[in-house]
Amino acid sequence: MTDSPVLATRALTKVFTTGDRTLCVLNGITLSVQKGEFLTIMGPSGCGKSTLLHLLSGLERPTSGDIMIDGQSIIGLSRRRMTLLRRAKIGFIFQFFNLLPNLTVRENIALPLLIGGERPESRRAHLDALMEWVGITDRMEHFPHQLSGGEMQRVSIARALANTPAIVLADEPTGNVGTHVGEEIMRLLRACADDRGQTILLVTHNAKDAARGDRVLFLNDGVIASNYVLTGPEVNERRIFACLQELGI
Amino acid sequence: MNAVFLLAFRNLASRKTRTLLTTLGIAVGVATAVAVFVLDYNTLITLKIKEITAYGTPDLEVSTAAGDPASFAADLARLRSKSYVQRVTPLFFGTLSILRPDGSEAIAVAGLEQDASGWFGGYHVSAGHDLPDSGGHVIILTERVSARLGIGIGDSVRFAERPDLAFRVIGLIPVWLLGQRNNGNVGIIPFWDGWRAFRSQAVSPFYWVKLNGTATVDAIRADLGPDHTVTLPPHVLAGETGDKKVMRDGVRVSGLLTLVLGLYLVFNSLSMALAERIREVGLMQAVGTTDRQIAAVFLVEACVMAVVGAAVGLIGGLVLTRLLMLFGFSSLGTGTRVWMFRLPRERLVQVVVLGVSAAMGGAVYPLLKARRLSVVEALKQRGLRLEIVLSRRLYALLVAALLIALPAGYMAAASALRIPWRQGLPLVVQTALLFAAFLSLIFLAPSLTGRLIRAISWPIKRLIRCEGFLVERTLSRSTARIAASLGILTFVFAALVGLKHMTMSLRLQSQRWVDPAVGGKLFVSSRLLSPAEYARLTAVPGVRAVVPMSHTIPAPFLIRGLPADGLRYGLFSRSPDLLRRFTSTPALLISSQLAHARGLKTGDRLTLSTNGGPMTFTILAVTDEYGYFIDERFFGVMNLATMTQAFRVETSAANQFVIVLDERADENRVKNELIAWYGGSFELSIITGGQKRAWVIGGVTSDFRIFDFILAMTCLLAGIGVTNALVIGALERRREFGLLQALGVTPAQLGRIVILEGTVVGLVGGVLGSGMGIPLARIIVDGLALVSQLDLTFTLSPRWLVMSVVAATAISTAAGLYPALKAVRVDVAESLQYE
Repeated sequence: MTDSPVLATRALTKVFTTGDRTLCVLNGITLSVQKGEFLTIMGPSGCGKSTLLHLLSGLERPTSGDIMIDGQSIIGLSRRRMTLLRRAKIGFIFQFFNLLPNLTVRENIALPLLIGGERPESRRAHLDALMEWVGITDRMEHFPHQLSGGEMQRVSIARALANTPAIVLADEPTGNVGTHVGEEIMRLLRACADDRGQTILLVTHNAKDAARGDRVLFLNDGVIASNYVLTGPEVNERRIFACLQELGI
Repeated sequence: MNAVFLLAFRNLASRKTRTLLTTLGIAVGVATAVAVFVLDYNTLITLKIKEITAYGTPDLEVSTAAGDPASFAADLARLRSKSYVQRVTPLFFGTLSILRPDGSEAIAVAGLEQDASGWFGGYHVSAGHDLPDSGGHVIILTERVSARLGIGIGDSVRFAERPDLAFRVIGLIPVWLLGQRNNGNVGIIPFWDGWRAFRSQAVSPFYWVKLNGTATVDAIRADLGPDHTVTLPPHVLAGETGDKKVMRDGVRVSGLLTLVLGLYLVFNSLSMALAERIREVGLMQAVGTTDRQIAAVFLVEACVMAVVGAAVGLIGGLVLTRLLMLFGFSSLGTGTRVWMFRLPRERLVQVVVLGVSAAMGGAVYPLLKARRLSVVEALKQRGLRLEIVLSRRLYALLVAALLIALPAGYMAAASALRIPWRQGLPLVVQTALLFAAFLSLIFLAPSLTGRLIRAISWPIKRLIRCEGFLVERTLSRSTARIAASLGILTFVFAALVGLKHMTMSLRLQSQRWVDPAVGGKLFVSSRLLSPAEYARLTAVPGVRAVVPMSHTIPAPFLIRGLPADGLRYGLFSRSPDLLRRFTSTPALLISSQLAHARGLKTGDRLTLSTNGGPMTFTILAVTDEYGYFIDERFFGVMNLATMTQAFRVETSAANQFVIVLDERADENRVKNELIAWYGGSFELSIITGGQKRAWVIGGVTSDFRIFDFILAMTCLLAGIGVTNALVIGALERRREFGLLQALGVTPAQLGRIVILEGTVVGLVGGVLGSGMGIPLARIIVDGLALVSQLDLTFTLSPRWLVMSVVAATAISTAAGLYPALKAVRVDVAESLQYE
């Protein structure tokens, strides 16, 4: 890890307005994530975890505050510039996999390269290595509907890594798979940070998964509970569970 | 509000685009069918009124073998005693020359009884008196003859044919009904006295009959026996015979097919909608909604769209009809000006009911499929796969039904209409096979369609890698989603290719015969002119010969008697020996069309029944250089002297002529000279060969203009269909679009992907349409040649094949614009948030 944050926010606020009702989902979130760090964000349903990920990736715009990726503010970027930035620097892993049903495993994984204008054939070795790394080489010509949930999530991880993004955002990646598969997925994410130097931002409900991170933040009522930031040896299942209880999550 | 209605209306309102496009699909289909049927109905009325106002309104015409007044009177009495006869009146037509101090003036004469006016509407007296019951030597003249010759009521006229008899003028009629004949130069005399006085000038007398009850023509023919000929009068036959009937049937069937296309679009739209909403169905079941209630929700939705669509279609169809009439369209092309606007209520109700019920049916079928799914299945699946809703079994059944029903239906219809079916059956079977093959390719062989999509997408993929790749993969691997769009485009553009090749073959065929038939000639109509009068036309500079065209016999085909001295041009000028044989032996020339239709050739011999018994004629040549005057293409030409002798044709006057020009004469200059010299006194109306040629060639295009309108409507439907499919696809694929954007696809790229999907669908549809259009065009040309007996040849036009692909691609690409906009507007975060 280095001192320069790859991702940082300052006083980030998101307010949703429906008619005359307003709902403040995030209220002044300030955080900074170092390169290669594995940051876990926990919180109750509806606390704004996913909204935070959407804001960090530029899928939604904040009501106020600032977001810096690699030192560059993304506030004010056009939709196109934001998309290009996301394409280059951010990988996504979703709870529901979100694989394209008409593409094979290999094609789904190669998709970010293709979107970026690269010829997937020219990165064959890279793609093969990725598939081997996530353990789905033998399924590469299969379609998503022919895969199990675990296999789909492996494909999703491989796809998120295809562009070698600086940041990987994982939104409850084990939420839709069994315990054993979930552990395997978390092992892969951990390896992303350790072996590939990628920054991982994990959103989860699962204390065991959260314990894989370098740092754990708890989001409650739209703010980060400042007294409950776990780092280093504090990041363990027991401590996380205790925090959750104390926060009434 | 009842829950069913609440859900149905909420669904309609929340899916505005789909609701609008589906309703529009029904509306366009219904509007086209309404426009076609209303236009056809009014075309027919216009034609009938045109015939009635030039003739009268008998239900039947009966001619008899009785040749003298006594036996004719007995025959008339017998006819009057028939129970199916309400009224009958005898009549004859002929030509007489009114004696003038400076010569004579030929007029058309009708021998009538008073009933011909009152009961049959053949004429109306505008001044003076009608014919007396007692007959006598009296005459009613048209106002034109009266004014031109200065003969008024109370004056007497004498005829060159019987100068001993004086006919007192008792009344005048306008140039209307029978008064229109011979450019309005008509006299009406009492039937019996007229016939006795002018038996040799009277063309065979016959009867006009008004019928009682519902006796059929066949029954009447059987009752009257072989001594009588029973025919339908022109106003009954108007638009109901020969090529006019074929044309009208073609237009009506095309209109109906457009409606079917619109309804298929609705069926497909509702099926796709259900596939998209299957989770909603599962949820409704889970919260206790019964199958019947769910069905009711979907049926109410379909019903609302169908009723609104049909109502809009009905009004739109009527507006379209008025517009088509305004631009000179009729169901017989643009040659007939329709000026009536009446509504065929029964047919309109049928179209609307068909539209509404088929749309409802379109909702029922996918519902039946959905009912087989369990609640859990429905809730688990993100969408009922289209392959399940639009099952292959349905299309397999359709293909099988087509293969059996089309030939069987044709044979049944042909038998019912007493049309020989053997000749047409191979074409019908070919049509069934062709449609079955393409239906199978599109709906039953997704892997083949997929390969075609991949092949066609290849250059796009090379050009725009990311978008091309995604489009190719999406389309080639989900052919069920685009099958309906492909089907609509394929059939619409196959029809376009077929129709354009048909008109092209007609145009080529016209070009072959029209030059010798009309080149270097003027076509002249006039009042009846005596030979001495029309001979004066040759004095005009540039006129080589004046050939009277009025002398004809109708059987066994139209034969025109032409004076040999007027035929010293063309073939006869090149072969004087042929002219000698034409004048000295029983001989015929026949038109190329007649030769083709009857399989006749030079040297063949034909035996015709003449007044002197059977006589054998030799066909000297097949040529279009002699005998063509108006639309008739199937005719023979005989020496007028031979005709007069063998058939006792009356040749004292003529009112139609072909003027043959000197080789270097300018047709317009000669025309102007003729008008200047004789236009007023002879009442000349002249069409030049150049005008005639332009009309014949242009007529091929204008005759089929109505099909262009129908094709335009089907193209519109195809556009709506593709848009609808892409919009429903865009709704269903919100998550995919969101994901692509999350992965870095820019809005412009996403828009291009959706538009390119439309483009590729259009390209594939256009290629399939062209591919199907070639054999279809061949079948259409062969079919038309069979029906019309025209010598048509199929010539492939790469231009129309390319045009078809380009048009399909353009329509489909345009159809992708709105869905692309919807795709770009997808809220990425929201679309990815939920399962």
